[in-house]
Amino acid sequence: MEKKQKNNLVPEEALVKILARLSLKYIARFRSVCKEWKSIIDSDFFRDLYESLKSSSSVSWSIMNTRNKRVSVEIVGHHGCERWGLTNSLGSYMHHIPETKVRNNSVLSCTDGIVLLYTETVEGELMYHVGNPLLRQWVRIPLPPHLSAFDVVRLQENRHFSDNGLVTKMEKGIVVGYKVVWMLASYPASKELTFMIYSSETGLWITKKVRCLRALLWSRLGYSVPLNGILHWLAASGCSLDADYVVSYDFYKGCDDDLDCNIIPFPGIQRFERNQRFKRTITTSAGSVVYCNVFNDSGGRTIRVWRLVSTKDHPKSWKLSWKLNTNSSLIGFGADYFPVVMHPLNSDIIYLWSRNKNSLVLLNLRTHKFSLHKEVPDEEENKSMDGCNMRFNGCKAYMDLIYPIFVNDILGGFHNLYFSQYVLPRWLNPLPQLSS
Amino acid sequence: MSSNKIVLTSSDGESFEVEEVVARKLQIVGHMLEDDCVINEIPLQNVTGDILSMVIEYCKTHVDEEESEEAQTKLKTWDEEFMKKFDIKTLLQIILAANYLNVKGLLDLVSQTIADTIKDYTPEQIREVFGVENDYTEEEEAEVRKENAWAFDEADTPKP
Repeated sequence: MEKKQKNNLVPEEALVKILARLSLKYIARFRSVCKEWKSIIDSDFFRDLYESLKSSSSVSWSIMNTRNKRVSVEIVGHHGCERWGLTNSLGSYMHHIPETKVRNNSVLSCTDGIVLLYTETVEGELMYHVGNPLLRQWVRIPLPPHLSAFDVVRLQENRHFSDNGLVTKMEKGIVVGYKVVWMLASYPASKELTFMIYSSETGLWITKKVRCLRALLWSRLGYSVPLNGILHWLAASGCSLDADYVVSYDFYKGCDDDLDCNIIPFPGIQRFERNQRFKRTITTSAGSVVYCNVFNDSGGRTIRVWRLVSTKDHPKSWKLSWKLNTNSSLIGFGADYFPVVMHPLNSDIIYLWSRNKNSLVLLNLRTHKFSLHKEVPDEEENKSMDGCNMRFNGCKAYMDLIYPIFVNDILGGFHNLYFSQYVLPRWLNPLPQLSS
Repeated sequence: MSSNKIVLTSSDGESFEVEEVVARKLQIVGHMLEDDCVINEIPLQNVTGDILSMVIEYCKTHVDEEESEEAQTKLKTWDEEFMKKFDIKTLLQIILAANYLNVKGLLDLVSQTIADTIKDYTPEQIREVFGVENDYTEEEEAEVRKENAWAFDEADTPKP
């Protein structure tokens, strides 16, 4: 028994069954056991087996602050989730340390496990990196050619350009390509938008002009929701200064002659003319863009959740998934809350912030079960609905900061995108490299 | 049919007389019985007696898989206790046997137990236990380690 056998004690057939039960962290470690183990782990067969066994396993994700650089970028992190088995929340991986000294470093966008990072060195040089923070892979994105000194100044001051679009191309749950998108509106209100697009497949920038069916106010281009290669922005029609449209553009549609943006009016907008005191958020959940608003109806306070099902087919673009009167069904819930994000993978669960309880509320819209979570010091951890550990970091401070603009503006509330989600992918995928 | 007895013989010549319903939990035996129904002694060349006796113990316990929640919980507790008896070397013997004899439930159970046991092993410990040779050159190994450095740097034990 004790004699050393060096000829694979366990055949591959049994080995894959063992490996498929491990979290990805351990699987990543065991790639260095030997060449055979690495090739098993990297095979499509193993990935499919893993997916079939762990299809419902929870994935680490974070609620990110997209607004304020003084507050931590990750305000709520989920870790210890089954699939990755991480003991730290994702915010702790967000840093890329370039060789030079920096004076400004910020996450501009994140999607499908990759992030777009902006760095300004002490010498005033601008750098953009796309990276997979967990795997510590970073690629420096060149600046577009013919960028004038004046353009650089405008970039640094966040005027004119919006430099924070990031979209991915996914194949079987793996990122196979990405595009960095800068947006430029020639006039504050216009039918036209200019995109500057850098593609990981070509390593080149192209410029593209697109049109919309009507003129829109472009003051919200600085924040977008990326999903499946499509960016979504908020825009205002001018009838109101508040956002009443979602504008979307598919950067992987392929055809170069597709020069139109889709513009999609928000559902239930007529209510909003009557009663301006409502709260809303737009995020992604279970593969769709999801819009949530909270109104004070005559019968009390109601949460509505819509899923974007079509970008062209207005008025059937949005499908109402949930409508819940929280006064009647949720005792002890409190009244002063606003929607934060939907759970990125489970479209039954919404995250709300309760002002009077100073708590994050996790609410299952199907079962009406909910739990309150206060920001507590690091050592005490909150458990999310799928058993992950939640870590708060400046969450309350951020909520207090955005609350006045979010809710009380008498001009109608300047609704904006205040949150984004950083979600780890379902598999160990390296950053796509330039095929040279 | 259920009262029929079958004799299973291990590679080292140990014989076990079991009910046919128990023996049929070993799918390899199930297939043999379908091919020729008069067999009542089956030699199993790839399994030693001590491992085979454990497989049979599992099959006897799982012979009536009742639907009720109470029965399921009881079985689950039994499974946990059963698995606690074995060290990693024995667990690997059992997974080989479960794989060869094709006992689905045991295969799932023992895969999970092995996964839980080995997860914090270093690659060196894995090679030792699984009898695997490190066929990377020094440079190649450093490269793969670097690719997965994040997974090694992650603390193993969550903060209390």
